[in-house]
Amino acid sequence: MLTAAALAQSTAIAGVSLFGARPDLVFLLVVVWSFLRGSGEGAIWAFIGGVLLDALSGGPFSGFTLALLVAALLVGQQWGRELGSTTFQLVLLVLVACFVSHGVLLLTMSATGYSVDWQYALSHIAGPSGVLNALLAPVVHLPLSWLDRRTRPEGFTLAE
Amino acid sequence: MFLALHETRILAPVERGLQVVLAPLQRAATALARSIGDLSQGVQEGRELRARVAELEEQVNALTIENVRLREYEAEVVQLRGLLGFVEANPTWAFLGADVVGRSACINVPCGEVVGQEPNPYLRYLTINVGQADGVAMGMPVVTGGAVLVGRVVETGIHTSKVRLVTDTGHSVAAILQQSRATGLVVGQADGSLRMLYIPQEDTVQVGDVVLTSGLGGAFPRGLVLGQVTQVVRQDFALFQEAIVNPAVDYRRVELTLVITSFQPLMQEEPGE
Repeated sequence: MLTAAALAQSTAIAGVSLFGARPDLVFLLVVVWSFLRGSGEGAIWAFIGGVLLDALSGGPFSGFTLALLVAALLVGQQWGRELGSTTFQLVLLVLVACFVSHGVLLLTMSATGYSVDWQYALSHIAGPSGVLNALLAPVVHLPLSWLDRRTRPEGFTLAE
Repeated sequence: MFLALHETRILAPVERGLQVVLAPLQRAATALARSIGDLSQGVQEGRELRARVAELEEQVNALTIENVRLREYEAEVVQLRGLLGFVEANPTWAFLGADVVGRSACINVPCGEVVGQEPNPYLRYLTINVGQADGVAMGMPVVTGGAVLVGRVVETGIHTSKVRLVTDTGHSVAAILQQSRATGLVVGQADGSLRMLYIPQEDTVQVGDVVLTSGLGGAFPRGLVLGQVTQVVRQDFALFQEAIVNPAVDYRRVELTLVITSFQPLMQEEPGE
């Protein structure tokens, strides 16, 4: 699933831009899974998705991996879980995580010698992408919560 | 008895009266029968027409698909002609073709395709499916139809290469304006446009002037198209003026490319200067 998302993100979706915002499929899968199953599993998905995207990108290797790991750890924590409905929590967490992950990606690029226009990047790409991905998160949540229910390990049962 | 009365014409008035009454009913019945007949025929014809419409719709669909395919071929021919013209105009250079889905249209060079776009929204790269096995090496310029510079190979795999587009923020190309002959440095901008920097203040820069590679530095051949000046930024107190340049092609739609595997750098052409 992550491979398909990474391939889509580097082919068909790469050209999609809504006022600078781009849907980040891999990011959405990672953070929503982290939201459902916690930062442990989220980190594993982040690592796999990040490596795939780094392999497809011409940018610094590890940029996407780091960015997705930070996002997964952020969303997988329990903070903010008492705020409103599940959808509201998800949208809020994805919004914050998207902005932070873009920041990490930009920092990695900057640290490895890539030219970064911070003002333009944050205002024209990271900001709109955060909003778009936050709005898309509930859509991704539906199939992943189904997958979560189907694959969640069952708890211990007391022997009779 | 009726027959006898009829023959003796005693019943004639009654018969005429009945005819008067029945004639309209008969006409109505006839009209109804005709209508039913027409309706039945209409239903039959409707069935035939529906079948015909379905058949025609199938034909339209087939023709539409064929039309789309022909338009694709037409677009490809236009691009290939552009590349062919560029190859013929530079007979001393060596090229390696890369195009869409491994077609056999490139006769003398192996073909590839633009297989991927950059997933990182802050970078502008293309992936083409010719690599080390095809003779591609780091730093080779990549062009598309109409001698438009696409970028430079920055990473090579065995069968693929990553091309950093001229619009990437980390890319800079020595450039010259076609009309005014002013020189400068074209750099990519975050918004996907190009900006020509370090143009001497005394040079006249006009909107619409075509920006070409100058060949200085030897990284690119001279005369490749970069774009067109859309705005001139000039401040009296500044040492240099700048120009906003509209890229010559939409890099998201580039499908066919040529990798220039060998060319004579300008520095070698003019060693005495």
